[in-house]
Amino acid sequence: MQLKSTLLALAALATLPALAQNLTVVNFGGANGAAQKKAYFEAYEKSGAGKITQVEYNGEQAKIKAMVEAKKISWDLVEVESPDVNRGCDEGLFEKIDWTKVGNKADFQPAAVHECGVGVFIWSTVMAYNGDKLKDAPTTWADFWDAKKYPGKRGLRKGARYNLEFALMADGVKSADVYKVLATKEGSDRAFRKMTELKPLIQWWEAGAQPPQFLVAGDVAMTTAFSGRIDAAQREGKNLKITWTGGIYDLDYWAIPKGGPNKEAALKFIALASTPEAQAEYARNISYGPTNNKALAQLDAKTLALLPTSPANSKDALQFNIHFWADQGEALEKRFAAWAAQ
Amino acid sequence: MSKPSAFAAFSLLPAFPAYYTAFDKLGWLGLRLGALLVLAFLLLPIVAIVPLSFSSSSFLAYPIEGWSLQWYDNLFSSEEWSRATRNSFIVAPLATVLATVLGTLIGIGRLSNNMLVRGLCTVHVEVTRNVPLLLQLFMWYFAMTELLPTIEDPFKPLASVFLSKNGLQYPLPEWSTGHWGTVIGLIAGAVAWRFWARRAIRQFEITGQYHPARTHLIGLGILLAVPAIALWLPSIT
Amino acid sequence: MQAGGTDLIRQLRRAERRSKVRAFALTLPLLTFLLVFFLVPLASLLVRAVENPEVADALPATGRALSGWDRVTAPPDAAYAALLQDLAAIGETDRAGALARRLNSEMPGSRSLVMSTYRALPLGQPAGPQQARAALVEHDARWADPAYWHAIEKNSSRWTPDYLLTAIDLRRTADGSIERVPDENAAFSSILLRTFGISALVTAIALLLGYPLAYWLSTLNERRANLMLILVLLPFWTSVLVRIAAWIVLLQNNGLINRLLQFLGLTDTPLPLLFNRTGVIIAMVHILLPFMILPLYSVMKSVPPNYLRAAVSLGSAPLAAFFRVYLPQTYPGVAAGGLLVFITCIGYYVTPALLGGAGDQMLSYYVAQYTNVEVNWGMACALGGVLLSATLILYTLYRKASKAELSLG
Repeated sequence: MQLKSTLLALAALATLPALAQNLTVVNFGGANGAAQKKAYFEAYEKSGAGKITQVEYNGEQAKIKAMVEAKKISWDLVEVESPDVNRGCDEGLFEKIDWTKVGNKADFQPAAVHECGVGVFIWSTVMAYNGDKLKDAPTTWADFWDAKKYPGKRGLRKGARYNLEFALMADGVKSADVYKVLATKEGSDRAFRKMTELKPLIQWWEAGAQPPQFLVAGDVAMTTAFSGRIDAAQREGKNLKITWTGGIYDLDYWAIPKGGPNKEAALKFIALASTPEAQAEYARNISYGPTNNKALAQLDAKTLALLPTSPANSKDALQFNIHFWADQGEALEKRFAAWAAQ
Repeated sequence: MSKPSAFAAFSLLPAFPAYYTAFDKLGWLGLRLGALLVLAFLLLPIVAIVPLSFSSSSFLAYPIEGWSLQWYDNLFSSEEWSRATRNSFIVAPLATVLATVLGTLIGIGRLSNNMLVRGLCTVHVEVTRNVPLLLQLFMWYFAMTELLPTIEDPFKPLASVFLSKNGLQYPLPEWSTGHWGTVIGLIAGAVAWRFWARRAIRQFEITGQYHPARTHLIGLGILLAVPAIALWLPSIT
Repeated sequence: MQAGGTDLIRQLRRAERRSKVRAFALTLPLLTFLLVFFLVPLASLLVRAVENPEVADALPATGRALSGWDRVTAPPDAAYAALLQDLAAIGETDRAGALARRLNSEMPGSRSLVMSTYRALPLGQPAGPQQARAALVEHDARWADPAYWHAIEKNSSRWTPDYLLTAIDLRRTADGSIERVPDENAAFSSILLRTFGISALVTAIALLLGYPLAYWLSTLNERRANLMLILVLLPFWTSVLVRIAAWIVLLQNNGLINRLLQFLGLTDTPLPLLFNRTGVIIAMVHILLPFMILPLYSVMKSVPPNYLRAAVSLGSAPLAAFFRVYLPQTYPGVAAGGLLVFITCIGYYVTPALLGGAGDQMLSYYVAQYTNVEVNWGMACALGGVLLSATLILYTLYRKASKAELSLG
């Protein structure tokens, strides 16, 4: 009798944590992960809804695919890049988002509203340079390609993505026409020819942490970089500067792998993370643009000036065209690999 | 005749034997100098990067501007790092023990007189060693995620044992008081086995005949029979 | 006498059979282990490189309708009707996504074409094949382009050699013959050569550097040898990524090595030692050197010193004795270490990925890219299969060339 009641009490205690909805949230780590922790995870935990386990990954979609097929989902919420949310949605990897539980669609940037994802933030791939070493600021991509005016090496991300667009812009194509031109054979030939011009000076980077490292160490005169990483370096006291003209902006999305056990809790988290207050706090910790337009009103002018979405910074910017790269990506990356070998 | 010094490896120049020409002495010196240079090459990066772990900046560049213990603090207090460390301390010892045991057995198998055993062990070692690790990882990955059936229709090698994409599921006995009887019975059976083996050795000393396989097979039977009889007995009487 | 003889023979045969059965029974666990955990996954990898189920599963009727097509004239109207029928029959989205992805590898642009058509279904109520054709072309003009139908027709069979052909820079033309891919797209043959070239170079340098160190270690007494061995293993125990970061610190333009060279006056401008082939080779040699030193050391320790002394006592010069008596006895260690380093090098991709330029990437990098970024597992398996066969061929050549001397026991 006594044993039975003790066992019952123990069992009751054991089930208590199960009432809290603990989530495993996966993101890309780094300064972005730290900002998310401060703005989103702590708010969720403070609201008493449960604990958040933060997991870092590097964008491997094959892992999500394997999880969904095995029907054993250990990741409740994943931050994915735009091509992946598209492809994942097509291939049935992600749950369809019930926007009534998230928020008012009209409040969000149009690109942030996706069938299978909710936009987290807007980031940009831009030109960056070391303010201590380059006094005469470069203003356009033609300057990036100009080896005489700005001697020294250039940093570019390994791969065809982003570089072909920048090459066309350096060759005089207007940002609004870049993808139209790139879709033709002459356009892609033109982009690769322009890349060949710059080839002897290029230092390739693979990980997002490398461009600020290049600039601080003085390896390159100018480099393409993720705007958030340069922002993090600036917060650390390094005098790295960004030229926003002609930057390519893109969004990351929250996606819920299909068949997970905590779908409702994940939606609740997304709703919390998409409120103007949470997004404003996030933008104060890392200079990425919020997807909820109402968040902009809560930010001061100094923070706004650093965001990719501010009017001054988004002049001439173009959005990364995921449909173009979904179609042409494999072929162009292969051509890039062959080009790099020559 | 002078003998080479006992600490030849460490004193700068030993007492060379008389037949060493200048060329030979140069070769001896050059070899050791080269070895030390290679050792320095091996250790240089480690020596170079350790001070940077105390730097206050997150950039990997000399000169170090400020000193700070923030990275070590991060390492010991952060949840992700402690989880990762825990995983490492589970996986590494387990893998080491298994690899040592299996590796030694298969290595000995390569030297066996039996052609089949020798061939199999050689094939295993050569194939595993010569296929690049990435490909082996892929093979495991595809086997686990593609070949295995889904949880709805699992592979049943034995009754109540299920093999599927979600892993291997097997039943484990739930402990109840009756199981103490099995444990005591197994211990008693093990003791009886030991007595049986001792008897077989005594027989060997008397008659010179020893059948190890037969002896231990019977011993195994005793081990299993003792608890079986002990547990059935109450239900019969 | 005769009866006793045959009796004995029969007994002998029975005993031999029993021992053979016993040996086979003892090896059965190992055999099953090998089969289940090695041969079956390996076979699945190779099968996946030639399997082509996406189009065959999703568009069966279209494949049948296109079977008589001569590929020169316009596709038959029946094919258009069959396509609408097939697309409507695809229930869950993930089949459509897989189909779009497969066709897009063949003909860039098919992904958006297929997915937009799938999402727009039903396209009205086409009465017959001609109306089906009109409806499809009206939805997207690309359906009138025979190139997309080529892609469908080419992939309607379950098995395809295309992945393997692409992995060695060949392709099938419209009329079925095999030709080389144009130079601007021919990436893989140079990548394969590059992979083996870098691996061979790294192995040679590691051997040159590792041999003196291993020899010196083997001449030390027990205590000092253990101490030195710990120093050799120290970098081995450090994580690979940390070692790569350390080389970045040393080799970058502002790094310690360039600073030292400039301080000594050996060079005015910093030498480009990083993000190119040089940096990759230096870092890989550093990472793989312990793999070379340990087998060499273990073999050298087992070489008896008497031979060298005997050679000298018979009149040889010590240096000559080293090269003619000691060195050949260490060949097994050289072979073991060399093979280990070479194979590890071929499978490595992290070091070139972080320290190399775009033209220094090894084959495994592209295998990983096809698996994770493009999610084209057929191509990943085909590249893996090519790597595997190349390695096996090299290994067989190596065994043939070293039949007698370099046996590893």
